[in-house]
Amino acid sequence: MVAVTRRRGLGLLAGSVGALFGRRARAAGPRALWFGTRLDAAGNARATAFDDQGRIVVDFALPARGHGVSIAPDRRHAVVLGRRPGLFAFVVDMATGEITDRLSVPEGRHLCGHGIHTPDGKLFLATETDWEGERGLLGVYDVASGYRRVAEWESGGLDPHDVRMLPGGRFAVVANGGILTHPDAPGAKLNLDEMDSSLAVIDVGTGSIARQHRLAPELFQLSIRHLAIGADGSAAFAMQYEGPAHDAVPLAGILRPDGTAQLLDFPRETLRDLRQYFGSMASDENGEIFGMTSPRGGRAVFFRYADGAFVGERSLSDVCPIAADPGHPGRFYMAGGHGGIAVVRPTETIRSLPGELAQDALWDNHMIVALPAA
Amino acid sequence: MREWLKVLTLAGLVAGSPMVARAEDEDEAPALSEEAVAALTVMNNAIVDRHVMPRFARLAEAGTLLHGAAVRFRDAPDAAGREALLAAYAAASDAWQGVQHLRFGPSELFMRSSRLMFWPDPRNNVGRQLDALLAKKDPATFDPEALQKQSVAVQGLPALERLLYGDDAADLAGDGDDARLRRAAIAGIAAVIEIQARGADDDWRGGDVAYAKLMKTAGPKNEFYRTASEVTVELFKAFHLALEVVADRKLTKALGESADKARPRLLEQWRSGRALDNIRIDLHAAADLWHAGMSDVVRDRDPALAKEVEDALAATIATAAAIAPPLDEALADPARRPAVEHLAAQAEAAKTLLANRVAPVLGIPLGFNALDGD
Repeated sequence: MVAVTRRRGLGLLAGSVGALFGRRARAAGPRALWFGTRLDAAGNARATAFDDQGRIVVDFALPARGHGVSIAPDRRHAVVLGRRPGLFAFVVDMATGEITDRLSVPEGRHLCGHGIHTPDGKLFLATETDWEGERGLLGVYDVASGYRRVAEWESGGLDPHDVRMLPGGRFAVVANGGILTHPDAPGAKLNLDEMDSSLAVIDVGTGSIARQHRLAPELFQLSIRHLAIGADGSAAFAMQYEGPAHDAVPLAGILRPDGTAQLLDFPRETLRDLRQYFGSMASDENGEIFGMTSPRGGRAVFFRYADGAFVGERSLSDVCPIAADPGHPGRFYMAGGHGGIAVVRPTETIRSLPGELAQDALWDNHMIVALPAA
Repeated sequence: MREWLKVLTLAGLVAGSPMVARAEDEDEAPALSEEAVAALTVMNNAIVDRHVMPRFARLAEAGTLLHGAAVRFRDAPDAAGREALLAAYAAASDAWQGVQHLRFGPSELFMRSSRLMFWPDPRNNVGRQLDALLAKKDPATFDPEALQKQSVAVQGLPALERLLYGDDAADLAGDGDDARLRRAAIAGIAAVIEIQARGADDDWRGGDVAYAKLMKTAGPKNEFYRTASEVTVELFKAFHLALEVVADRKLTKALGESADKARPRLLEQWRSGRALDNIRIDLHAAADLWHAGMSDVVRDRDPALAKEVEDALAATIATAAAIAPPLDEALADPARRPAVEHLAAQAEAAKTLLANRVAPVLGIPLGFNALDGD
């Protein structure tokens, strides 16, 4: 099953990738790019796409720190969102690197940093917060009409963050972080309505919540924040723990297509090094392995979708952005907040990208693979 | 494992996978030299001794004085007693602000920081929970033992502030049942504040926890801090947090997008008008931590950077000092608002300087991804 939406949106069919991006083709053929946001040496926020040699291909200034990026299914344009509470999201032409449009976010709504295109390319869904009403939302934007906001749907919880499409294109899954304030004490009375981190599966045909998954009450201080989708339709989720630093709690899990969820087992020392925090995650080329990054631990860890097994870990200072390496199953690009872009597999750091950008840019939170338009 | 460590074992932690070696990455930062470790150890110890310990001692003392004033007012309510109580509340609040950035270890245990200061509170937990308890019309509800089992939202300074400065505060000294009940609530909450404040101070100084000793004895056998760097990470995060709350949490939402959209009731402790004092204390705490030990180490390694940090802290403190209270009016006043916006921007620049420049000089892996969250 190759119909993972994000990958399908990128036109990444497993069979064709090797041909397009194999060693021989790479020099002459279209290049894969990695598109993320960063601060430059002077501290200015920028959105930048670079190639496998660390060369800048797309680069423009942002009014404030950026966050997530979504590539449209036609691969001709992308949306770069601001860091939450976000007030901007720009539409970028990938061929010219120019901003062609911006999302019209209505007053009283703030972007939460992530958004995703539906695989038919018609809609863009952005996580948003209604501050007055203290509600989490998915803002629905019509791509063809210049990203006009056409609807808003309840996300099913407070503080929605990441959103991804499940295979088939009918359902979006939203990570509702759920913890806006300090949670209540475990020893004291639990106010379950205040601790509401969940995964909401939303029917994009109707805008209604089809299913919602919550963690066990004992894990109420965990906040589900980021998502990656596997080839089998599993949704891996990475969390942050708001409780004491020395509690040992699972920081990630996998929601299977059948609706069952598995919390992941971490090697004990590794779990400690992650410091209760994941900042980003991504699936590999084939959707068989996913990587999660902990900037607080300066560490990336990798797990297998099939059985949820831990398969390795890598280090990089303040690492956060992570994305697949197209044409190389099991490999990832990851970048650090103190600079540095590394190409890794779970048990090996293959190389560090050369050049000024790779050395000096301070990489912020997320990056995504952008393949050239067909 | 220490007895008070609450380990959640829901994930069934694995002890380490023999299949996956914890190989050191080629690109991982080299281990610190002995001299560098020694310098960090001296710095860490100085910050604990000169910055942390006196502040928690002051908090404990302020808690005791607050409890005493509350009991006296409960038993013999008069105008002078009320004045004394309000002064004790202000002093306890200031003492808390002096440690609010030290949100690890003893402050984290038993959710002490949330118990002492449940804020922000966008869903009015404090008000709702307090009203629910008052509705029982039973002073025994507020016995410290019973109160500690209630929601943390009703156990700290914000709940006390409601009673002292809320709509029903005018009649606090009266003879009626409602006034008696409210005085009992005040005394009960003040007692719990003292318990938490004393508990934190005790845990720093000795007993089972002896957190100061723990931070001074980093090593392979220390379950909390294996290296001096890990202690530095903790203290650096606290330094950063003292600026972060000013850059973002305590001002951004209240500022809103413009003067006519300011939301002064999102200021911390707006009822008692303490928001500006709090910010000043936070900034002085940052400067105090820096001068307690960190400035020496940074100056040795990068004098120009140390000067930049000094200047950034001094400028931010000066801006805060120059803002004329009350802060809530300044937010909505087009003439005075720019100074508040400037303060948030200066604090933001200072914390960015810490994350991106100072952390690498100290040899710790924290950057803006680790420190700013997502």
